Amino acid sequence: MAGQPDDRTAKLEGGLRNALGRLWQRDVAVRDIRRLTGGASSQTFAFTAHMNGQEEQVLILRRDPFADAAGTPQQAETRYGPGWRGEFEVLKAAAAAGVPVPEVLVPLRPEDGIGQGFVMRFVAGETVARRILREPQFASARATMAAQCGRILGRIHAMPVDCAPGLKHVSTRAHVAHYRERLRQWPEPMPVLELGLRWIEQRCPPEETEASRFVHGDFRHGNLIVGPEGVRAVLDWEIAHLGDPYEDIGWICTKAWRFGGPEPVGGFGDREDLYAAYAGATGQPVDRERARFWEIFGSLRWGVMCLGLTERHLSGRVRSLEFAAIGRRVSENEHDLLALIEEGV
Amino acid sequence: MALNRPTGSELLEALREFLDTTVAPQVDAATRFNLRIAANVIGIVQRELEQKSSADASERTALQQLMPDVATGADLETLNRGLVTRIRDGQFDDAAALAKLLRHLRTTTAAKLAIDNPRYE
Repeated sequence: MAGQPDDRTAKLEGGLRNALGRLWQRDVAVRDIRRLTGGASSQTFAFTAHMNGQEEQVLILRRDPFADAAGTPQQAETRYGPGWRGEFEVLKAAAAAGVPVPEVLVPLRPEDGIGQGFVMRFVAGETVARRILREPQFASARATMAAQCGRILGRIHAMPVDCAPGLKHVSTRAHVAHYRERLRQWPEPMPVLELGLRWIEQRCPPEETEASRFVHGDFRHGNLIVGPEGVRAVLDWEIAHLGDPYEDIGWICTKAWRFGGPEPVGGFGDREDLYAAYAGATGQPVDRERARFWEIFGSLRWGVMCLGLTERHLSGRVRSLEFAAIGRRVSENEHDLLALIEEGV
Repeated sequence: MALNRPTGSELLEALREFLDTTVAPQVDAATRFNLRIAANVIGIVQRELEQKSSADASERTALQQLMPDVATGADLETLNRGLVTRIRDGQFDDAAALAKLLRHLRTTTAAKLAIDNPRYE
């Protein structure tokens, strides 16, 4: 890897050979380790694995080098999630439930010496929203993806709530309280976000009537591997939790994830296609009011998250032009929030 | 004291052109991605220089009309803190007050977007 100290590559190689050797009970050669674009709370690498007499395979390592011994990720955003061991089990359970996901192979152990995480198979395809929304090769994918997402979400939400260790129930009120607290930490007054929060708080369902179903938590462009035929795999299950499954329906319809595309569902599809497929998969009609609640929540959530990203730059913790600029995109979320609130008045 | 030409806005325009025509062709794709962000940022600052004072003045007037009980002469930040407190306290929960608040917020948000991203829809 360009610019990386050789001993990190050697360490990764050693750890991966250990883990895969444990899985396959053979000597495994590992090479070509390359870092893929990663999120804030974890690292993702692609690499090639080879055993005598077998074809080479491209595999993926997901890990947190700094996770503590219990396997709990350190970042605030992922504290709702099931942790690394839980995420591994979630992926197995998702595959068993007929959800398209990469096949997981082996979880890391402390003796591998490369942190917490796991190895999974590589799935070819595109994750960049702008390409999926604009390139001709994805035209038929765009036409069918809303319905595919509806079916996939139906299966995700039917996954057993005990399918993995570490799954936490997060009530709607707890979600809202979390963003209320994050907004409180922002030093400037933000009347539109405050109104959005107030609106949502006034409409939170009582905790006793709350659903506790499996929720992906970050189902959107960037976390879908797409081919010309549509969705090939759903990624990034690190904040999977239990709660109101409409959270996922709201998030995929949140305007921020349309990336300039003309349609409400991820920029590619119609709400009616999404809802019809979801209703078909779940056997129940979609509750439109509940979906709207979570769309409004989605706009608020993304606006507050953008404040957090820009704060990281302003505080000096990280200096990033992109993070600085994102603070001036919050006005887009404010616009979206007001439009949604006015629709419902 | 009047400054000499180019104006702040003209300087920013020169900077943006430099990045687009001289720097962009010489760098890799990842850096070009950041250069597009840089060009956007320069546009934001140009529009802010041109529009901010009059947008602020309109917002102050509108806030004083929305909250007539707040002391006159309060600055924009104080007025907005007052607004946020009132929203949290539920003073805009009823339909008539909410309608007034929404009209106000629509106007201020549109003014912000005219600076931050005039092409947003």
